Formats: sequence, structure tokens, C-alpha cells
Amino acid sequence: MQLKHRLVLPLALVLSAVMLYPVAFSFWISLHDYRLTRLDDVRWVGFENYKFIATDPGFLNAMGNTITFVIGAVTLELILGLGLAILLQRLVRFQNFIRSTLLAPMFITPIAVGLMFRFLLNSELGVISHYLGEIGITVDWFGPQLALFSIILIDVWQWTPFMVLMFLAGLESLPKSPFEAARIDGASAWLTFRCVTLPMLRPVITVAIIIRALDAFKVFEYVFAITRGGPGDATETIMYYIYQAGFRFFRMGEAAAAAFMLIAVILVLVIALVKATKSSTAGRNNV
Amino acid sequence: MSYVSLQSITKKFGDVEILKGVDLEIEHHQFTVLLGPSGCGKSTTLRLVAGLEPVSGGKIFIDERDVTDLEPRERDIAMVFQNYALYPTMTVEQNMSFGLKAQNMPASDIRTAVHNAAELLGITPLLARKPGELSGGQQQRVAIGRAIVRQPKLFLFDEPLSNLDAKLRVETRSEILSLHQRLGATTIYVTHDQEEAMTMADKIVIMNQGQIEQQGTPEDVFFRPVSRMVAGFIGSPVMNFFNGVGTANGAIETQVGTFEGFPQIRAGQKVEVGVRPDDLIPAEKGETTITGKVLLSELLGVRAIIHLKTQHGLAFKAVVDHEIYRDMKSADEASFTVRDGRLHVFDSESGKRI
Repeated sequence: MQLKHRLVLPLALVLSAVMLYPVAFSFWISLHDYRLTRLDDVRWVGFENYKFIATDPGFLNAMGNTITFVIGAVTLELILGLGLAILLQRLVRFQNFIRSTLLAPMFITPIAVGLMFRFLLNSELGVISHYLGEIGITVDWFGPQLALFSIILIDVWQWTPFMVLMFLAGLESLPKSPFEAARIDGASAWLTFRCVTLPMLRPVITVAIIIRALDAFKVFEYVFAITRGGPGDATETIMYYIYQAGFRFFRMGEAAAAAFMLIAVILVLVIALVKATKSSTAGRNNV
Repeated sequence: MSYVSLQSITKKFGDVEILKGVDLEIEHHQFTVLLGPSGCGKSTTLRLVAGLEPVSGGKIFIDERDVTDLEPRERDIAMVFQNYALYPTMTVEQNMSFGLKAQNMPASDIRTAVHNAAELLGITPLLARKPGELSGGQQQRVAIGRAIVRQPKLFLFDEPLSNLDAKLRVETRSEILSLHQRLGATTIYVTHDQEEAMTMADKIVIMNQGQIEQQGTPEDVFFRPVSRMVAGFIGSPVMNFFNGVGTANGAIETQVGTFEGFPQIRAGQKVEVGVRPDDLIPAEKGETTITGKVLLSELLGVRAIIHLKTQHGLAFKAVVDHEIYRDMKSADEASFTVRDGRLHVFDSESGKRI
């Protein structure tokens, strides 16, 4: 064995133990009828679990909810984040203060954010609902129609600052001179934004979307803390579905299969986005 | 009123005064070069004319219109930046079209204008490429193309050649000049390179510490520099300076000899005598001479620079022809006399020409 291989070996072993083995083991589980309540009766079922999951209305509903959540939350965060970043960049005073304040929501653990909003938005006790009621607006934030939307809003509250900070850093790293050239060329603010700022910022936007989308796919805490997937199954997300199947009903085989299907969906998304980044950065390597 | 007029322009950044009252008149079709050392305010002046920075005081007129408080786009100008400032995500064609698109010109007219400009600059084959795929020289051509396609009233160039290599710089220099003549444009050009200024300008404006030190034709500033600063800044190799004192009979005594015929100089007045290395010619017997020990010589081709040191330890340079260089480089000492009427005298205190 060569020295370079021997040097990598310890890390390779550690990584295998903590990553490769669990992944391989859960894949093995996904091919078996593996229930925590019947560990003496683990049977090989092949891809039966996958077939069951793929046709299970509960899983399809959870996948639909999750995709709605990801698209809704990430889109809102993107638009708000970009807008706020552009406004903040123009701010001369208090910029650093606002920047550090923006970090605050990200410091809070999501389960606490979930609990906080559960009380804030509660239709009987919630302070937000109370003041909305004062001006004649009554909203059932966690009713069947709005529950998923409310969860999206909570995610937007917590993670828009992340987008703002990413875009602010991106905007500040852009060269100044094309913007001066655009002023000389007589471009309006909107034309400059659309044709100069946005294309130059595209790599940063793609990375921000990938990071936030990956994270949003794993949404669990808000659902767990507030709705437990309800009302009915209106807010049941993939992670909550997996949690239910594995740790409430102890059907580890199905949970593992669902997890692998989530990985497949995320993989497709990431590959598509990375390809989009590559095509947008081609041809500007020297700039 | 002139075509472009700057009246008592001042500019402050915080407490720092960058421009301390600049007055400048530029005629139609004139090629004006703003020249000066780093930090003299020449680029700031250009940015004020462009409207990229607001003035702190004074007025700017372009074609008899007060543009002091107007946005850049309302001033009808085009600017070429030192680092090209192309839009990195657009193709060359889109880069050149952008300004016309912003003016809502019909697409077919834009196409014609862009293709004509590209033809003029020889960049038609590059139209579909992006700036990142072009060399520095090509990018600069695109930047110039973007400027001329809009047919503005005034062209502004901010050190456009300083990122190019020496050969390309000379080529692009003459191209900009011929373009200027062909378009009948009015141009303000900023540079710190005096050779560029001398070769290109109809009018050179030399700036120093936020003020105009001298303005005039290249001949004016080269042959009649108004101050010690201008004399030392213009010309390569730089002018030789020797300290001297006026005597009662209108002569100047220096460590390298006595120069006569300056009746305007008071006795005891401290002065600096300047003479260009090109104006030192090998001395005949009986003339006022500057003699020095030959330290080293640099052959440039037809001409050569001789580095010398006087017996008092003052270093000076002389530019001589090739034949003289051959004799001189092996000689121990060499004597020079000053070409008639080419001695410049400056007051030591004020630095002004006497």
C-alpha cells in the first residue's frame, strides 16, 4: 500500500463507519419487512416496500405537501431576500446593526421557533391573532386551508435573513464599474437590475436556492411542534411521514424506503440546479 | 461659451478637498488630455463631467446646457473605463446594444448601428462572444465600440490604455486618435502617461493637487513649462535641475557654471535652472560648459542616454547621437553646453517660471 493511501485510510475508515455503514444498513432495511416490534421475524421482501410507498396515498400526499412547502418557502425567501438585500445595500447608516440583527432568527432552534409561533398564532391566545382581531381580521392560521401556508410563513420568517446575507455578500462582491457603465448608458433602475445585476448574481442565487431547498425538504420541527401533520394530513411532510412510519408505527422497512425515495427526488433537483449554474457561469471565467 | 465648460469646480470627499476650483474650456472637436501624477484629481474631474459623482461647487456646461445636476444619461456622453467595465454576462453585441436599448431605439436600427461600429473597429467576428473570452485589447475595443455606437456629444476616456501591453498601447493610441478625427468627436482623455498626452492631445491640461497647473498645446507645455512641477513632469528622460543664485549683473551662478542674460533676476534670488537632456550638446572650446564624469550610458538605438556626475556630486543626464555616444561611453569626462534659448529658470520658492 502506498503512503498516500495509508494516510487517507483512517479518515476513510471513520467515514465508512459513520456514513457508509448506516446508509448501507438502511438500504438493507428498506429491502426487508423490518419492524421494531418483530425483530425476530425480519423477512426479505425485495422492492415491495418501495412499491407500497410509491402507491401509498399518504406518502404521495406528504410528497405533494413537501414540494408545495419547498417551492412556496424558497420562492418567497428568494424574492424577499433579494429585495431586502438591495435595499440594505443602499443603506448608509445602521447597515452593520441591521446585518447582525438579521442573524437573530437563524440562531433559534427550529423547534423553539415552531413552539413560539404556535402560541403567537393561536386563535384563542395568540398575540398576533388578538391584534388582527382588533382590526376585524380573524384568521384560523392552523385550519385545513391555511395550515401549510402558515408553516411556510414561519420558515420564511426564520430563513429569509439567510438569503439576505447571502445576496448582500454577493452584491458587494460584484464589480462596481459595470453599474457605472449602465448609468452612463442611461439604463433605468429596472433595466440595470434585470440585465446587469441579476445575471451577475445568478451563481450566488443558485447556490442560495440549493442550500435552502435542501434544508426545506427536511422540514420537520415546525410540523412536529405545531400541527403534527394535521389538520387531517394537510401539513404532513415527508420527514414527518418517515418519522411516523419508523418511530410511531415501528415499520422501519417502509420508513427506510421512503427516505431513499426522498434522496432520489433531492438528487434530481440538485443535479438540475448545478447544471443551471454551470451554464450560467460559462464564458465569464476571466471576468 | 466653449463646447464644454467647467467653472470653478470643487469636489470634497468628507473633509478632503480633491478639486480646489478647476476652470476649463474645451472647444468643439478638440482632443483634450488631462494629465498629472496619481491623486492630482484628473480622474475625479472626468467623473464629475460624466455625472458619476456630484460636484461640491461650481458649474458644468456641455454644448451650452447646464448639466451640473443632471444624471449621466441626460448629459449625452459616453465613457470608456480603465478596466473596460463591460457587462460580463452579455455578448459583445448585447454590450454594444445596451445603451441604445435603454433609449428605446427600434431593434433593427440598433442592429445596424452596432454592426457599423463593429465594422469600424474590426470586431465583427467577436460579436457573439462574451467579454471573458476576449483579450484585454479586444475588450477595450468593445468598450470603445459601446461608446461610439451612441454618437454622444462628448467622449470621456479614463486611462483606457493602462491595462494593455506596450505594443498594443501604441497601436490603440493611434486608433483612438484616428477614430476621434473620423467621427469629429469632442474628447476628454485622462492619463498619467505623458507620452500618451504629448502624442494625442490638441490641448494638454496638467493637473497637480486638485488644481490646473498649466494648459496649452503639447508644444506649450514641453517648451514653455510654467512651473518647476510641469517641467519635471513632462519629458523623458526628465529635465536636469541645478540650484542657483542670481547676481547683480543679471547672471545666475550655479555649481555647474554661470549662465548670463537674465536681467529680470534679482541679486541673491534663489532659483532652479532646468535643462532638458536633449538640449545638452557636446561643448566646443571656450563655451559655458557643464562637465561631468561619465557614470554609465544607455543606448536606445539612434540616440543614447549618458548618465553623468559633476565634480560637486550633482547627477545629470544628456541625450546624444549614436556617433557621439561611441566616443563618450569610453571617455572619462564629458562637457556639454546648453542649446540656445533652452534654459528654463524657475523661482525656488514659488516654483514659477521666471
